[in-house]
Amino acid sequence: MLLSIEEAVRLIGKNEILHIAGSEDSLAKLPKGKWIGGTIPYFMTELGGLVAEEKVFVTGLSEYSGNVEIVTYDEGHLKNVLRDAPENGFTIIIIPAFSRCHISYAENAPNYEDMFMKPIIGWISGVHLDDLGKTTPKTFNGETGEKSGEKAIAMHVSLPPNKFAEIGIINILEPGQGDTLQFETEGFSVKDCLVNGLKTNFADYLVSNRIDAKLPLVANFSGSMVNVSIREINNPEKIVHLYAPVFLHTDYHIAQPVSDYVTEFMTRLSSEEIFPVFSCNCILNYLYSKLEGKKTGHLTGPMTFGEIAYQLLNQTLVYLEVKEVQG
Amino acid sequence: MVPAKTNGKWRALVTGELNHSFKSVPAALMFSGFKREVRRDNSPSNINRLIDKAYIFFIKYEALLVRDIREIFKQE
Repeated sequence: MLLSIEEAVRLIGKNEILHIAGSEDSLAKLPKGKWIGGTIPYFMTELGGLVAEEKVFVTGLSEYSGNVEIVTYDEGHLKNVLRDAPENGFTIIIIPAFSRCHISYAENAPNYEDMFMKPIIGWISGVHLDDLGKTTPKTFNGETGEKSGEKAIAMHVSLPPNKFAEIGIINILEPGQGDTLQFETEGFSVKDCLVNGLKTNFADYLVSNRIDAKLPLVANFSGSMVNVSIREINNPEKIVHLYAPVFLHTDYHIAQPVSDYVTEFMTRLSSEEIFPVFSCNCILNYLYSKLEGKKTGHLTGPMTFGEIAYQLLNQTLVYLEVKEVQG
Repeated sequence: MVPAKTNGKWRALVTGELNHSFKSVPAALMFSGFKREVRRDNSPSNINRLIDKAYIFFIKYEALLVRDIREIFKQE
């Protein structure tokens, strides 16, 4: 929930276990305690989407947690994040946008030890879009008071044996009916692609086909739709920069346009019973679908520069549930 | 119940010969990665390694994968 700095300070003072999103100035005002944080001033709240520089979005985790560990990771140690995670529980991770950890996690996380065996959810911290290039996204270790523009911060939360964590996603974007696109190199920046098997410059393809750059590439990952959003088409250099890496041996399609994000989202939401402990959504959904002032039900949280449900995702809502073991 | 690793459906799953749409997000992402790995290295040892990983995942998350198990192994 969105709280004033004073309200957040009170919760920290009660030794609550917290995940906190907010502007750098807001997070810097918080005292040490059992919390992790990341910078972003965009939120989806119960009252709708909004920008708030003076408030913080707080997610309480005390009621779910047995043992809690807060660990900072540099690029070299990030691969250990799931080795450190509990056998039964979950990890929330925040990574500063544009940092080496961001790129490393996006490209390598699917191959980390214990990936998919232990639930990991999180997001890429950002800044107010007016401040891009003026300041850098940060993460905060509430326990030590350290803030960083380079290091990831993780909270490992163990659960009692009668509970388990499950991560889900809501991606309303579907692959379009157009060309099949494949890539011969992996990464955040690409020059060439195969269009229905024919080698083509990707920037030329997007420009000559007048592709709306707000529509991501979408691939069907064995039942989960995974987006890769377009960051910039650099036509002079004939290179396309992306918000997540493309992978080899994967068929991508430009997404089918969505006329009304909120309506589509709420339709999808009404078909599922979700009781989120934590959720976050993408800043691009906020911008492209003009979510300021609009509501997306009880799935609230920061609007981020990238979402993590095991691996880095784009233009996708991710959520964590804690459920009772049946039987 | 999770079928034994000797069941041929495991190989079909990790190689992508069987194109199953998983309800579970981690299963979907994991098997998608397996298919990419097999495209890079389709040696029997690599495929067996991936089957081992898939089997361990299914054992750990059997309760979450009931519908997938039923659909994948329905003819067993």
